[in-house]
Amino acid sequence: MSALTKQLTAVRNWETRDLLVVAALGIIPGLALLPAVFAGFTIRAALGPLGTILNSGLFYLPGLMALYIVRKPGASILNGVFVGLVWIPLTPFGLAVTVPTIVARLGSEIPFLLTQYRRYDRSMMLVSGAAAGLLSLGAIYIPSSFQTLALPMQAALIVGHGLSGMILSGLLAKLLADKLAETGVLSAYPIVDDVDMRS
Amino acid sequence: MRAKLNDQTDEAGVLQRLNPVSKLLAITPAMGVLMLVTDPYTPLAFVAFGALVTIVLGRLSPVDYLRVAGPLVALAASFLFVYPFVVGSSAGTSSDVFASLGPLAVRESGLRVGVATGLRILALSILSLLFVLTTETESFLRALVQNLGLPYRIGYSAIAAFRFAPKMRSDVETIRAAHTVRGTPDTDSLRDRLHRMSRYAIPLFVNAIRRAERTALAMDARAFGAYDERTHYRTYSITSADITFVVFFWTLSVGIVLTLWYLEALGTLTILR
Amino acid sequence: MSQIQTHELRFRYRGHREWKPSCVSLDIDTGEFVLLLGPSGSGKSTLARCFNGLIPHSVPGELRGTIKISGRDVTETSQADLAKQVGLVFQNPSLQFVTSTVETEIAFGLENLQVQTSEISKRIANALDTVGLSGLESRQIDTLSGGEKQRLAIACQLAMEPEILVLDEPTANLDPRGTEAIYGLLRKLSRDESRTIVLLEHQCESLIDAVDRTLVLDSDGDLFLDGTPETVFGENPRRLRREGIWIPAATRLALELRSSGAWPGSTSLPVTVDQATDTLKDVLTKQRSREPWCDSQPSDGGSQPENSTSLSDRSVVRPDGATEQEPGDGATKSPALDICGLNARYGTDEKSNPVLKDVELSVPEGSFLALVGPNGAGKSTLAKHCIGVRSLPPETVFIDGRDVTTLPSREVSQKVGYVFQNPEYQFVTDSVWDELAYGLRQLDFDADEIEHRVQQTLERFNLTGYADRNPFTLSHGEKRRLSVATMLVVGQDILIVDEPTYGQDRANADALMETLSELHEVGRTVIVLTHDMRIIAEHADTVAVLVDGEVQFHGTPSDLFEDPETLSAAHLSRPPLAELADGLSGFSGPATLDRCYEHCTGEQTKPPTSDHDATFSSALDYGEER
Repeated sequence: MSALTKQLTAVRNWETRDLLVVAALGIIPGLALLPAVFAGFTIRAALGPLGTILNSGLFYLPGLMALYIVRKPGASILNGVFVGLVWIPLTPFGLAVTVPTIVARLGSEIPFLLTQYRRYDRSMMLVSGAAAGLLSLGAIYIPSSFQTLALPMQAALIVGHGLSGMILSGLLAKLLADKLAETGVLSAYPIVDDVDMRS
Repeated sequence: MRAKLNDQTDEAGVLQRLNPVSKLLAITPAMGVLMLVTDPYTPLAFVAFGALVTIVLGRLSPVDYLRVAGPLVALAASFLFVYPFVVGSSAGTSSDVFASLGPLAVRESGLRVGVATGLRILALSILSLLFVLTTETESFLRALVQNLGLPYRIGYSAIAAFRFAPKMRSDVETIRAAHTVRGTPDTDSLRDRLHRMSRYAIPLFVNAIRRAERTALAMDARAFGAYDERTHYRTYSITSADITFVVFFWTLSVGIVLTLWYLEALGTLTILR
Repeated sequence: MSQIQTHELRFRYRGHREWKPSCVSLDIDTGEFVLLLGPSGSGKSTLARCFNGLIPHSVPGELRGTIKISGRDVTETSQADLAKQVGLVFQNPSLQFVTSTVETEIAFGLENLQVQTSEISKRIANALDTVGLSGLESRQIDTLSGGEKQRLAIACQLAMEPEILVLDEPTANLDPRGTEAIYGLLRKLSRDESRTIVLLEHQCESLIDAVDRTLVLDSDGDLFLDGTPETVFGENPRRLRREGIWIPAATRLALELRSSGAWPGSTSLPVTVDQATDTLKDVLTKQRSREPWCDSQPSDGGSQPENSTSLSDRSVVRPDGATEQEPGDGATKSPALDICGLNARYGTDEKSNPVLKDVELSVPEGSFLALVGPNGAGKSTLAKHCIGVRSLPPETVFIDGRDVTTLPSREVSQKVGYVFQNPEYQFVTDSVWDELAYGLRQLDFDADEIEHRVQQTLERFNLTGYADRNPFTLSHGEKRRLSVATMLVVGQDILIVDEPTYGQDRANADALMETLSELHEVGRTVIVLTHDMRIIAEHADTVAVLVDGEVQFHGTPSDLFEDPETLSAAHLSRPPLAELADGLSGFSGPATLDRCYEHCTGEQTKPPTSDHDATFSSALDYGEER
């Protein structure tokens, strides 16, 4: 964990450009997801706990995109901080949603930390998305009284969150970022090298 | 309608003048407790308390407040109708699952969990509203930097990125118009919607990233991040008013919990179950 | 003493192959006011970023050669020190702000430099005073006009007390009034001999007299001209044209006159209007003494129908070889677009301010309408109502006599094309070829027909080499060309173009306008939303002025130019040659280059073979050598 914390505390190692891109990737989807935050609660109310599966995956997508584009340790967590900075002052659920969001970002960093932030490929993104999904589920488990649910329901929640994180955030983040790289807008980032290699 | 929501002008109330950090500090312990309680009375008490403090000290018109809080009540109420069907019995045997999925087999335990969860979410939201309705994002971020040690490069990056938000909204509108002109069908099937979303995403992100890079350059050109510390033209300090408010809020929060405990209305905390 | 000194400076952005600028050596002295010109993609902005150390400190890439500011190598000077020495103002005013109010924004840079609060207050007051924004300290930045925002951006830099002020196309996003305010400010700032100013622009007609020195980059990023404006423009007009670089209107007129012998060969070419007027007065006096009857004749070109004056001699050879002319009188035709009593508001909120108030506008088929007005007057809103992307009450907008609300959006998009300011918004596919085929596929054309039409359009717009490219990777000029092409491939009758010349260099802007003129000449209805006086003077046959959501004027360009009140309400300035025309006895009507030429040569129509800049750039666009 030390490499991670060192990188995070030394914000100076981050170029302003990296900070702003990670911030934009946090604040813009953060705002775009505001309706989803509200809807998320409605869905949860309407579909029950299983509703959290659908929208939760989208919540870590920006973090994984930020990490995949900027490729610096902590990018996903920092992105979560920015998302939180949108949600805390702008939604009545601010803190309640931000905590699991940041926990999810911690989850998404773990697989990258284990590989020392050297690999950025599809399988890493899938694993990272799944880790994010599972950890964030853990963060809302007790406050949402999920432990009181029937066991099969709980199992469905766990599997669902893992898959949702894998597909909706891991895979989708990679697809979106690769598409963006093709437009040439990310030429300042290492991601372009990947795209060039493939074409 | 006396004052507009979020308005920080002369007519602003006590809450608007407080340091955003102290407001956050004031509501945090109460929110922590609310995360854990299982009875319906504690959330109810905090809903009343939070709403009262926000309206009186924030000098908001009750009508405006209700307009914001109303939907939250409706949302909380919907928990009441869903949870009874999905909650298993505390024994957690598999036979109970089928029964609980049947629409008529409403269990008393499910109803209780539904009410408690709904009220809990409502109470958390009402307390957040105290902060949300009386705080400007930019002052909140400045206060975080000055009083809570948020690295200023993060805080100011967030302030800068917030300026992109209205542009993103107009981007979406323009992109929609631009695609309509291209003859993209305007139909509303789920597939079309998903397809459209993916088409919008690329130009939206491209613009967002370009904006971020240009703004970053403009910030660097003005020596952003040149030194570890920066001076502050607009200062946010913890004043005696802030301390008074925090102490007042904490005292009453503790008072509410203690009273409920004394009345034996406080249920077990989730963590202890 | 030399303040900016570069030696064989070249830079390559990460992920790019070409060096731009490539090998620039220059020396700028303290107190100079330098105008840096160059076509899009010549590396002007890159050079500006080198001046204040963003390159190499913040932009990834490779820097070769040396650059010294006040004798210190930029690579060895910290960003903070450079920020104190060199202020850089960017093109887009709203992308350079961090905070939300005027005073906190000026304070931002000072806080970064750890200036004490009391000193910050003083500097804010001084800076705002200099740029003329005193009293707006606590205003929200979003409520400022474009011109005010850009002045604020300058104030932010001035507060940091730099010795060098670099401005990267500061007026590109402004309406003419905002531009004039910035130029006035720069003129004032340039009087301070201790401050060096470097202005990057595509053109700066009304400020040219204040410029001490002009540097010109060519499209390869080489510094190819360096000298006073008189030597640069007066001695190298042909080379400048070949690069598609702007030349002051006075110089252009003198050039034309010289080629027909009307300009005295001994007199050097003028740069400012004053220089031109002096010589032209002599020319006219001499000419009148030879042809005395000229004085008795009203010289506004009254022998020809007013509107077609500027059009008739611009018979353009289209790529397919046909020469087409369309007289400008559209009065007898049925309106292509008819707007009757349109009201609109922002959003759906009943309380919000109206954007459009009872707009009545009829656009005859085959006309070329310029829709003008200050930023925020409702031009785009009005235009968007015409393409049915905003919901509107029935019986307010008619296309070819049919109510838009009764037409399906697909049918509207077949009748009306709309070219957005930001072409990227319109891209819906991943390649240029698919982009062109998209509209045709929507209309169920068969594959052969699509193939044929796309190929034809690619050739026509000089995009054949880009067929497989991702549209986003094109240059800005190419993107705009593509977005016009996507509209034309379907063949709409009405084409609406939002700010056709906005943010483009001279060559690209002229090429686009030429395309629009060709369309107009084959009978399409063209509507442009613009601030550009040149478009109004040289292309449009009708002008509608929209101010505060109301149509204040609807008539011919020449009537508009005679109406200073409406011009000012529309935030328009007069065309560049208008001032010159004021100095010419007996001149009236729109002061276009052609009409001034005709006036000065005694009503002699300019020969079509002469070096007309529009035909010239069209040749440039289609790759013909003249």
